[in-house]
Amino acid sequence: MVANTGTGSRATTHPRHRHRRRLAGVGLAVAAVALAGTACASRDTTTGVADGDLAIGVGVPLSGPYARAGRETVNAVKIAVAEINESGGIDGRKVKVLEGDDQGEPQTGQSVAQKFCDDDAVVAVIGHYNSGVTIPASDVYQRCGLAQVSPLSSNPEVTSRGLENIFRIGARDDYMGPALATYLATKTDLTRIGTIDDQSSYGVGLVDQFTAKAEQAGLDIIKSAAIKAGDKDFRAVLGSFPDETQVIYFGGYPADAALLAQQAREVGLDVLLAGGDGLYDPDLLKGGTAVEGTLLTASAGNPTDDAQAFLDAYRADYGQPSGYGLLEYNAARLVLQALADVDDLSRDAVVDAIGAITYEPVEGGAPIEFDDQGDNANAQVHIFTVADGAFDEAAVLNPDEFR
Amino acid sequence: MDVLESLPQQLVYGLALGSVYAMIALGYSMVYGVLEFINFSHGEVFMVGAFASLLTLTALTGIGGVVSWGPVLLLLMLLAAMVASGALGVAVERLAYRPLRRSSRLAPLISAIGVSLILQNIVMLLQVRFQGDSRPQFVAAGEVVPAGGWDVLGVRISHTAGLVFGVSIVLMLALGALVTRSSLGRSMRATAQDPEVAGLMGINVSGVITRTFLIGSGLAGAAGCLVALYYTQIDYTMGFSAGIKAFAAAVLGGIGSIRGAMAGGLVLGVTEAFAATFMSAAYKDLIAFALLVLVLAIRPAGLLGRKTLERV
Amino acid sequence: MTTLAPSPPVETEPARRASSPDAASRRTAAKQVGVLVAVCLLVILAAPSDYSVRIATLVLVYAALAMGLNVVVGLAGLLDLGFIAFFGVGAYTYALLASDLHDIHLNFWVLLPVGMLVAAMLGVLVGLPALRTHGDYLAIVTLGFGEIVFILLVNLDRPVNITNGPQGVLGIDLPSIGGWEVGKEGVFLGAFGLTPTMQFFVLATLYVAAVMYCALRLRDARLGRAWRAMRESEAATSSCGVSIVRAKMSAFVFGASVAGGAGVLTAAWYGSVFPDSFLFSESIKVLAMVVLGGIGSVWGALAGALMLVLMPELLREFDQYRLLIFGLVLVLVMRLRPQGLFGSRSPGIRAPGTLGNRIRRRLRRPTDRGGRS
Repeated sequence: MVANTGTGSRATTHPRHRHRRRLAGVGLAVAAVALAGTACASRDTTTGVADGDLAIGVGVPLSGPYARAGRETVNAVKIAVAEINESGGIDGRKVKVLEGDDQGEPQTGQSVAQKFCDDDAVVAVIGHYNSGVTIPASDVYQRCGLAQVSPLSSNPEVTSRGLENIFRIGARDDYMGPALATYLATKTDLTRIGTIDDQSSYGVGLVDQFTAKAEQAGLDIIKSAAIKAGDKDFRAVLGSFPDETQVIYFGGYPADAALLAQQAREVGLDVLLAGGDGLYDPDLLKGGTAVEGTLLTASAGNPTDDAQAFLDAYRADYGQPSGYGLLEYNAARLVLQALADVDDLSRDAVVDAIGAITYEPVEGGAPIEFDDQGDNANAQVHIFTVADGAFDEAAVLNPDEFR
Repeated sequence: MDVLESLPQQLVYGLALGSVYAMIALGYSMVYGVLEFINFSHGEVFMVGAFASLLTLTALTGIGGVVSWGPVLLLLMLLAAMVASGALGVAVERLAYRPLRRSSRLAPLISAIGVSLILQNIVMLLQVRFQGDSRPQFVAAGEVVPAGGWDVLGVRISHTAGLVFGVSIVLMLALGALVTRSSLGRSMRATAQDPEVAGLMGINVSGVITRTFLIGSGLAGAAGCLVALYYTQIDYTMGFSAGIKAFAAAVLGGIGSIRGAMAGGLVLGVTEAFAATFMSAAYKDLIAFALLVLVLAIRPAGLLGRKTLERV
Repeated sequence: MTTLAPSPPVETEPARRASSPDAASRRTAAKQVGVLVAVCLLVILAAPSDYSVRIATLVLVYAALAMGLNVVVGLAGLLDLGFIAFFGVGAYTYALLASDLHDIHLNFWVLLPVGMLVAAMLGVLVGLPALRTHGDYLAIVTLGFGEIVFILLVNLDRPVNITNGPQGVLGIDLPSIGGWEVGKEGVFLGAFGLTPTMQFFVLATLYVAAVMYCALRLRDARLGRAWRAMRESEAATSSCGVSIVRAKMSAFVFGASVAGGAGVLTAAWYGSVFPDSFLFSESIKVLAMVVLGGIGSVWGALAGALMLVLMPELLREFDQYRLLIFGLVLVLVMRLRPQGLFGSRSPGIRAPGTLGNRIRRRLRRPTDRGGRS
């Protein structure tokens, strides 16, 4: 054994010398690339905002599966910012929109957050989209005192962790699920309920909140199951639901929901599909006749005529917005109003201004005000049903009706 | 519904799913048989087949309903999918694998992963280019196969499920005949047994490899078409999970064996369906993979694999 | 003349060192680690923003993973497609034992070895079937293991909540040394301040330096030679009296524990973990780093990590073309330089997989195929 070691290493002595020289070269190359990389990164952050402009960071997924939702947020914010710039900006300073692509991934979200933090021109951030990104990113924003306004991340944990700088416009999961359970219990005579979640953070949270309220309201949860988001064949899962099931509450995203509705028919289940705000999306309607009657909740109602100016502006540049475009537009206007309110434009002052704001949505209705946690105290839940291939608003519930 | 009562019904769902796995698994198996190489981009070839059949359907029914008779539509969709996937498979082999035949074993595997990313993203970018987003596409299967199904002794078999069984069985039998009876099949088997000797015997080994990719990819394309009709929803990421499952099916049955791939696909499909029923559906993938790991730990050559197995 | 007296020791010193190959190996390893640490020091001095330090930390975390996988794939020749599972297990070990979820708050320095140990035990578990399976079969077994770990992380929130399921674990403790928490507030060394991000960068540098030292030393040690020999020919290696079981197991265990430690570090750094961070695509990313940098080369693993982490950061403006470019790079590098950018053209690495060699192997052992050997 010892002899072995000796011969083995003697044989490698000569190559190792060559090796070392090569390694030194590699080391230098690595160092050069690393420095070039950081230099590039620095150039990004300094050239983005020159001459005293202000910037609003929009951290959303711009690639990957949620890219469309993220793009809509950017578009809506851009419309609001363009309006304020036309009318002279904030105290004469123009506002810029900085896009940050979080790809719907936590670690990328933290990188984007850090980038916004490092950029002195950024005074507030709108984002992120997925709760699983919003939460880790908010830790980074907290460290640099940047205000973060999330239009749609609905997980309760987004605001319930006691961070001062995070605000949310939309309704939380623990509003969405209970609101629909309340609606089922009080407005319909459907009582035998099954639930399916898609094993995502969003879907599981939604179903848990729904189940708790449903049981309390006297509904009968007869089976719970799970699917994998993005799977296409749910027949086996649906086949395991009892025939007497009347409603399947689904925590997940619209494309899967449309398939679930279609395949439920195919396996002979006569059920009504119900779900959360994720289903408030044109993709659900592609399910055709199978999704007729589907019940769902949303943070925003159908845009009224009062929002016509926004809708016209959006359609002129980007096509038809989903129901959330208006909510994101309101989020941007809210931030801009707060910026106009403060004197010194420091990050702390912006956080305080947003916390104290009373903002009137462009479409009318209850003003947006934040409670101690940073949730919208007046967030209503709109119940929709699908009728003739379109979303039809069935009811509006205030928080005190279902909490 | 009693759990036991639902057993035959679940068997039907499992077999439909399994025959799709089997058809994709065949492509992995054939390529492995000849080259001893995991073609990781095979799932994407399947996905492209699904999109090709959807495009055909949209084109044919869209322009004033050029063709509206189901069977003709189906035939044209299948053809388009098989041609598109087959051609793609051959092109990928030429461009990404053939130049690497003499390099380390990992090189073609990494290249295949690269091809996989490229294909996924080309489809995604085309979707974005032509319709603004890359969300799942819905397939109007009702235009091709009427909704509804047959009721056999209380077991519901939908028309689309019947179609999946029927077409996959016909294609797999055809493949079996091709491999055992034709001269192409003989040269494929010879190459699988021993590429060098096959070359010495006057067999054009490169030509055999090309045709292996053509046939395997064509089958994946057909599977893509069937899946588009059966699932009624396709997206650019579908090739990945279907690919992994089919790969697992191929290994389960003993990679390199045609009958093994079929058996592996069916076993995996039925296992998944039963797991969804009798356990939590959340664990169905776990069961599939645990089964796979167990089989390989106990019987590394797969269920039907033997040490000296006739390949392809 | 005064120089005469000390000259004999100067001459004998290198001679004595050369006589001990172990010392020589130790010295080269230490030198190379020194280069790495120096470069990291440069980065922290030159970094214009916390953002670049964060990206540099990410490079180091992936570099640690790539160095670990490099031992399994590059040296031992065992293709592991589920490597990220070990990273995930390490991350969850820290997340579950140092957060409010179960109200357990163990110290980072205790949990670092624990996380490595848990990952290593999983490595043994994965290694068991690997003893019987081969090549591409091994690839699918490891892939299956990776998927199983992911499914368990997602689903072990019921009936008893262990992992908190897809919701992930939030509010993970910061590492602490004495009374001071890393990443909490600025640390000042004279006039030079360290932001929380920089503190984690220092932590990551120390970890990667340790991993690199071990990887370099192991490569030259008896075990490392056994791995490389096994990669070329198992039969020949085992007939030389090397235990294949021990060699394979130790490769898996080393790779797994390195990844587990990196997981602990990352969980503490992020402050939250989610199952989605440990998907198959991440395993592929690490594998691509190893292959791109050069199979079997420690510096190559670092270079691969650097390139694949920086590329998306620098190409961020291309948004949706990023993955396409990523795929093109993989294909083109394989086609133009299959041994990786920094790999050596050692014929040994290239031999076992080529068609010609496979044919020759078969001719030698005609009955030997179908996954066994």
